Amino acid sequence: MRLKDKAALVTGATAGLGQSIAEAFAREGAAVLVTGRDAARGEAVVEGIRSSGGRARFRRLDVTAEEEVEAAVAATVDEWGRLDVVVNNAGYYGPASMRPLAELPVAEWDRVIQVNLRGPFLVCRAAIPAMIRQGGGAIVSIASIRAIHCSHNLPAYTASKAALIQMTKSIALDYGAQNIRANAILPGVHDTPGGQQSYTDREEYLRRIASLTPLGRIGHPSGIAYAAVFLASDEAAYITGATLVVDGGRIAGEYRPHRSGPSTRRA
Amino acid sequence: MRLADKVAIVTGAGRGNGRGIARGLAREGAAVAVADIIEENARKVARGIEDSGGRAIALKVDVTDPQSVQGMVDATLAAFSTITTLVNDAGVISRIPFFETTKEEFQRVVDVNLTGTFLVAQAVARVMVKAGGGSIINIASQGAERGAYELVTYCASKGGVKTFTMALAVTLGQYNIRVNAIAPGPIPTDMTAASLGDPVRRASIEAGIPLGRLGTPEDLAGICVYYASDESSWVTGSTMWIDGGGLAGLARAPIARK
Repeated sequence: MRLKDKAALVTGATAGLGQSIAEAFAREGAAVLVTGRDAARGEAVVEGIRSSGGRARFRRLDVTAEEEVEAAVAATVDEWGRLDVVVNNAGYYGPASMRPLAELPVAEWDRVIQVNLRGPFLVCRAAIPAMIRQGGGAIVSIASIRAIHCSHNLPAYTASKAALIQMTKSIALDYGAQNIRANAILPGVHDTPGGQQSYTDREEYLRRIASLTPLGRIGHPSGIAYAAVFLASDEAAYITGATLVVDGGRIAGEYRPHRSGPSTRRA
Repeated sequence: MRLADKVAIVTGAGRGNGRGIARGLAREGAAVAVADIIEENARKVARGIEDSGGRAIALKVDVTDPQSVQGMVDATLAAFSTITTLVNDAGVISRIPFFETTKEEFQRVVDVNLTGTFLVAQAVARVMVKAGGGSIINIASQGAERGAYELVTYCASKGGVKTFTMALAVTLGQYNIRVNAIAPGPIPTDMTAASLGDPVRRASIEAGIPLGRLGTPEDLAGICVYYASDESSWVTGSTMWIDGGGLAGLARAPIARK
């Protein structure tokens, strides 16, 4: 059990990557505050964790609301006496944000920045003092490969995720002496409910993603969960201010496979 | 035990970082071929792993020599039947100032750090293609991401290791072979003794590290276990910094040189 006796707060944990992270944390021994806006789904995630013998509670949370965020951090400390790990997973983009900059409504820009940047800022701002009091902690922020390898028609999203990485590094620099580590995971394309807005024909979508990905398949949320467990655990004690790309090789370089695959003939 | 079904080759495993990584993989259940140019060091490390209940063999290898590399691969297959994991740790550093660096010295460093990584990866990947996949972990450096004063030769070789990693990941993905790198900060080992042995220099380096300490070979074990295990089955082409936050930026206001 790699997160035994730790208490964690995971945002956006009612579905997709966040749910997978919360479940993996509980399996590794952590007590988890599952947070999100959908109480029914959140309670279902908690029920699943508890029925597998894990410890979890649900709390409704909009990460853009300062008072709600502070209350969620306080609730974690009240419930389990500590807060060791924060996972900034809640994120947003939608059909209205998928367009070039001059066509982006100002309200949509604000919405993306609010959820993807102000949210993690508020969560870290509330959590860091609690971590300092107990002698340290770990922050894991879920950014995106699009933070460092841009994509068309996503100006607000890519900017928000790039800013999240730099905020993560700032925390690493400013709170390293207090033994707080902060790292970011950069997921590639994953098979999650949030990804459903990117396609109409699922089979065609999966085939297309597979053809663009060196490892030949779309990501499974468990891969992000394992990465988060690693970065949250003491095995990563010397890792801070760093990024971990989990994308099947998508941004490592140009991928133009020959039909027959690379040659294995000897020189 | 997260690596119970794995067989790993770790080059440069006779001491320093390679030794820490080899022990870490063995602790999680991997059978380890401990390979080093100094055979006696490899033997000691392999014996230590066996004494702790692990599985290991010791091999002598010169990573710059294709025949020696093939011998290491063949001996590992003879002992453990397969190879699932490769850690390319064998490396050297050059502290000769830039204007005094000869072609031969530059070539020596590139031969071990870059050509050696290529030769071993190529020989092992042939086995992994037949086996249906595998994980290759290359040891880059902070010097692959940023320049370092009077370490031109070393940084050039490690920068090569990083882009080699990315290109190989893109190339071997369809064989289910994953290729990743780690970029450690300065770690006190025999290789860095000339630099970190100086207490003034060591203190100034430590002052620039957000976590306030130098790394240890054991710090590298966790990330290597992660990359070796199936937990990272969709991770390839990545470079993980493991440097206490050194690369993230300025840990404090810079002090001007006198």
